[in-house]
Amino acid sequence: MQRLIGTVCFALLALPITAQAQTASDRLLQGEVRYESLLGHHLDALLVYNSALTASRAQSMPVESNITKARLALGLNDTVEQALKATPGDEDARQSMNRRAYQLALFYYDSRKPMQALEMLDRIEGKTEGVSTTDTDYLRALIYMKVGRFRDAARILYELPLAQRPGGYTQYNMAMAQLLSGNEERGRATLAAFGELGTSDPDLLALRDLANIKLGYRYLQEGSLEQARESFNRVRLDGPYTNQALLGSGWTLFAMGNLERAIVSWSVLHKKEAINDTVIEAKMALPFAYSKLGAHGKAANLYAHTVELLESEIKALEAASDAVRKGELGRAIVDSRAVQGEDWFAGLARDDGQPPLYLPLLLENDALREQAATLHQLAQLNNRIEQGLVSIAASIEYAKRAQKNYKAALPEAEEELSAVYQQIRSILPASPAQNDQANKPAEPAAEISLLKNTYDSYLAARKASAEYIKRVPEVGRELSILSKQMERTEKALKSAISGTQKQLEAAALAILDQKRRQLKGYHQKALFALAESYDFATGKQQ
Amino acid sequence: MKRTHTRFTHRLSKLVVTPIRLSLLLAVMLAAPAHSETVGNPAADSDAIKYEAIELVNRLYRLERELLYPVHTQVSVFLSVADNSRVQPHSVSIAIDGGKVTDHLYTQKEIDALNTGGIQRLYTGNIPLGNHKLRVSFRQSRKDGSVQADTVDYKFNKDETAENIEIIVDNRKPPIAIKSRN
Repeated sequence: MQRLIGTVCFALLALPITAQAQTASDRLLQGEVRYESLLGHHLDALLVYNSALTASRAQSMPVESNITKARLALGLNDTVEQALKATPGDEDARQSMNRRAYQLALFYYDSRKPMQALEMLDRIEGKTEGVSTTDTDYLRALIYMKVGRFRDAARILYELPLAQRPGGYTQYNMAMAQLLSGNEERGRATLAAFGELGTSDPDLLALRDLANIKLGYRYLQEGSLEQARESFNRVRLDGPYTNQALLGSGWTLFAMGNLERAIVSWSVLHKKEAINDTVIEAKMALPFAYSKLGAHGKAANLYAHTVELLESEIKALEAASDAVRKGELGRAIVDSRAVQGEDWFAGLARDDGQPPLYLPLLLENDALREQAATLHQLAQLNNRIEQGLVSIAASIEYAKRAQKNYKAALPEAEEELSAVYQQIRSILPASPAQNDQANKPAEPAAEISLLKNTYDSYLAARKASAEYIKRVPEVGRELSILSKQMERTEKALKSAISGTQKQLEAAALAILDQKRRQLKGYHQKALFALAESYDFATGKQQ
Repeated sequence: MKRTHTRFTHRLSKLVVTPIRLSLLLAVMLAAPAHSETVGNPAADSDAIKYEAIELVNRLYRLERELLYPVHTQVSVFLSVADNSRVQPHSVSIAIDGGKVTDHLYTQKEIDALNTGGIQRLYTGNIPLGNHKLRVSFRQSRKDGSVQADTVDYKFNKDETAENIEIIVDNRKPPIAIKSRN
């Protein structure tokens, strides 16, 4: 789904510049806005757009999708929504509003606000360049799934035109909608068909694996073991869902009474060091299978290994909680303030500190991710304000020097200007009679033209410089006022950063604590099972 | 500040004027503790600060450009990819009147942005009025993996208006075209 939305957004961002007649410099500015936007430099895109263009020019710029994306990335969705309240003046304005509404709908869908996303979709009227009916219908179906309208979602997905629908994703989502609306038979048939899809697209291959996992567990639950086994076997052994497939396959074989083969599947998982729910379940299931086979000594050893692993993981979680309490999570996010766009998220998860903060686990949580994004936006803006304060001081100094240098250079420039003027006068014919001479030499004429151009150029430069230097003190004063405002905003930003950081830390601690309690539960079970297996192994129980 | 003010008035306008809402609002206001003005909605507060910060950064950007690059001396150099072409830029270096002013090595993300219609601002600076020479050295990867290097000179006249120069690169011939865009 994310991939599809990404594709649609990218298509919107790269809409061709064709709309209105533009000047060459407008085209360059639009290209620059687009370039910054495509790099994910949303604040820069917005600065170029706001600063270089006058309001009337800005309205005619076909980069509104990039600007809308920039505003949404900076959390300024109110501004985008406000713009939708105006009455569209003409066809271009209507289309532009439709595109904004669609981008907002995507934004709200991603932000887990399905009702607001629906409201935005309902604002779209008529055809729009860059947003097809298939795009809006597909998004509507996904939103319906979020709000529990599974039957409607399944119907919309079923009716999407075959040629335009996003292949694979539609089938998978349709199957889920059918299953969740109670149409088990149809849902399974759709999943089964998709589970055998021939493709080399890595994203579709992963989705196909997921479809087989879902199907496998459904068959396992109802006792259709042979079909469950086939579904799990279709999952690739080197994909993102290999662990779930091995676990499911193990349970299927276990249910079939084939304990030895179940042990083979779970043994693969047991060797994995990563701690997630699937691996932990396998680490509990494997000794359980051995104890069923009567190999209590082996089972006791394996349970002991699981207990050790869980203990070390619980300690690591406690260390992560301590690190969060010391503010390391907030610091890691604030430190990534220089990274614009979506990259900071990936970078943060990749550079998880020591002890690890369990960022992949934390960032799975919607509320925490939203708080992290807000903190990052605030830190990014604070960074710009801090840089701005340094550069304002330099600019004010520059303004003073510019004035001083201008005054110092003025007499020399005036002298030069006067010299050129005298040169022209000396070459120009002294009287009209001289001017009428038929055999006038060509060289002085060329020289006169050159001097005239130089003189005109000097005059233009003098005029432009005079205007500029007249403006410099005003700019200096405006910068001084701006500096004071920025200092106030910097304080407010720091206080907002601190508040958001505290909220984020509280949310992170709750998530880590929940995980710790879950692992403690597993730890208790493993301890009991270990004691039981040990008793059997040493002959205390018969 | 203006934007913040607009947002605030917008929020106020949402407190619609029905008698029931008004009485509820009054009840809430009366029931609020004396220090309630210090307790805000953190999300809304941070939104307002974000608007304000962007507005200030925006003003600074505009003023500094006006101060540092006045139009009568301003020259900007942009780089774009020719229509219907797909280029794998490696690096670019530009010199004005014999002095190198900037160079750039490309990342894959930048290459993708250029090939999908983005235009890169390579340089903004100041030069005096009159005749000048721009030298562009551009290296791009060929399909066979080798690197093709090209250098082109461009003469232009700087007048009292801002000078915008566009370097258009292509994987066909000629690999570099340069145009004034004023």
